[in-house]
Amino acid sequence: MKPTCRVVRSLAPSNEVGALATRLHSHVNACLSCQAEMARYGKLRRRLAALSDVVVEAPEALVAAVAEAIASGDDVAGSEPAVTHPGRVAAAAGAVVAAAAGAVAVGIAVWRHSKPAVR
Amino acid sequence: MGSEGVRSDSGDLIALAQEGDRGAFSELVRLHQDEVFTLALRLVADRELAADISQEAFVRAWRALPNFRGDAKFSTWMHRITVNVAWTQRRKQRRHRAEPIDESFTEPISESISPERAAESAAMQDRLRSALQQLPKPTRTVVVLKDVYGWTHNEIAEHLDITVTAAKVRLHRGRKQLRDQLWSEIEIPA
Repeated sequence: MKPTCRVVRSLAPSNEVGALATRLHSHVNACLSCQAEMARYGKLRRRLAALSDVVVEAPEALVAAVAEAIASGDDVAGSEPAVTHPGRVAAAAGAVVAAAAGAVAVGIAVWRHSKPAVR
Repeated sequence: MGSEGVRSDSGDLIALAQEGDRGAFSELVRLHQDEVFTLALRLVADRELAADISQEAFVRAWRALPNFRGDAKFSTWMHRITVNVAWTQRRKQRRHRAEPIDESFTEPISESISPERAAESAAMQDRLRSALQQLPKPTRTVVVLKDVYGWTHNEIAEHLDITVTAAKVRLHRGRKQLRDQLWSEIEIPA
């Protein structure tokens, strides 16, 4: 492979043929191997671009899940609705239980400390 | 897309939703859910996670709706929110576990082509999907946004909070990797 071919190949993923420097552009015009390489990238980009026309159907429950999440917040747009992820709800419940247990423990400790000593 | 009977005039729906009409917003969700889910799925390659991201993107959209001034199309705006949610998710996920690969995710094919062509197209799309999934997530995100959705390097850099140079480098690497993996698919006949 000629040194200029190597340069073209290293630049090919980011550049259109026309965007290459004039010297490289002239080389590509005369080199079948480099033309093929540029064409491969062109084909790849066209195939990727064609994916934009392909749409995957969303899960049926999505609309209801969004409505539920929004309903759990305030009434108007711009409010802060809660997102109803089951994992997060469980974590939040766990945190509330842990906080409550901590508060009870502190309360018992304070009560014991403040209780008059029995003589 | 199950959009039968759904009003297609997004402008009216947006105006109603901005006034707090949840029904109008639900119709907007119905109209745009497939494209939002598709984008999320391409970015994270995991159906469950893509569904979570789609849900969160719409919830964020509801929150931010009063600020939507219509400078961009609603779908473009939703795409940006979806990318931001997916990117945030990626950061959280990176801290906790390895990236999941959803083997069940296959790109659907158009129904208007011949069975032979459809089979060939399905096989090609499957290999393309598989090759995309093998890219590291930051690289895949840039390739998907640039080559599938036509974002500019500036838009990508801004939304992913990276430099334009970093976006270009990731695109370069991603395309090179895809070219190497799909060599037989994109070979040019002599």
